[in-house]
Amino acid sequence: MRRRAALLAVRSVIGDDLVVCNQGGTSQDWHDVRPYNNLYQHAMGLTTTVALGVALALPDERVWAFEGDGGLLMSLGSLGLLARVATPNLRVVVFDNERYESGGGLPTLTAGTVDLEAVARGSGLSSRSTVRDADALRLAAVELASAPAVGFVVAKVEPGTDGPALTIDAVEAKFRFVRDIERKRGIEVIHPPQRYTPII
Amino acid sequence: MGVAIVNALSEAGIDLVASLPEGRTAGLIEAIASDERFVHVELTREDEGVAVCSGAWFGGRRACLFVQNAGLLKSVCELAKLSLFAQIPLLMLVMYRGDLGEPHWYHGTVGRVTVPVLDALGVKHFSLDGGRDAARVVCGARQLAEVNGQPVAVLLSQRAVEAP
Repeated sequence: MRRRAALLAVRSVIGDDLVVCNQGGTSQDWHDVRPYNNLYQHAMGLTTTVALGVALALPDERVWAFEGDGGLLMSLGSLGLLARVATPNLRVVVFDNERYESGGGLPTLTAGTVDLEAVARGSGLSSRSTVRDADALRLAAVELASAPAVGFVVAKVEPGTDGPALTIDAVEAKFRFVRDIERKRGIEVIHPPQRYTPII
Repeated sequence: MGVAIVNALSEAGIDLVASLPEGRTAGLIEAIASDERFVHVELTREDEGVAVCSGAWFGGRRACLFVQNAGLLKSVCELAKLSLFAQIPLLMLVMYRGDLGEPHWYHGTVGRVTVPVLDALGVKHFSLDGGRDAARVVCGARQLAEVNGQPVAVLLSQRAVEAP
């Protein structure tokens, strides 16, 4: 399955949920499908842990991490961290193309021996699966959306990006996401009224 | 031990602490973990903590990364890419090993390069060398981080973490 087709299949399940999206092709494909309530996260290996922070801060929001295989392989300990923190409102979808797609297309370890679902199981995540077509991903996403615990799915996708290149850099991505959250939650994040007393 | 630092975090509006255990601060971390004013996240790598704290900031929480200076150095790329490039505020409490009176040789290199690396990154840093200034330094560092959209480090001496 193409990644953009996979994202189209889960679009209605995601609704207006917050999404922290891996850099590169995944951001391009997802922005093309749903261009708001997203953080395009450009520091490789940190997508899932940034999403964990968002989920901890906003327990009433369902938060999705759209992760890549290369990024997750950089931070396998984060799966154990998710299981330990067990914030029930976080869902992780790994779009596994078995390639460093933005890095020239060379293979990642998932093209060889590493099975990320098995790593997730061994890390203590109870809700996890691997899917290979858009229908199965949609069903998995529906299950994850209503599950009472942190969830994890590996979506095996073909290499390749269909969405147009993004013209949004990390600074604009930050402001867009924060302002979306401020509107959605009715809170002030940037330069809020002071909640502490500075001591001169 | 370290009550002044724990209270200073709360006074500074911090409500989430991400940490990785470290010899001298283990007791302080336990105190934070059992204090209901804070959500406590036990990390597996310090660079994950930059991510967790930044994510929490997006959601309106005010987080503190509490690590040893070795962990700060491990997180340099993440500080550069997340905090510095995207201008995301971050308060860091850093146990400064390899400093005055350090008994272990293996903290030597990290101790020597910590401040030069922070300076090279352009990250403001302040020393805390006792319990008495804890509130002023921690609150001030957090405010500076917030208004400038920058990471700010508070370097903790042995005396600071051992103060009551």
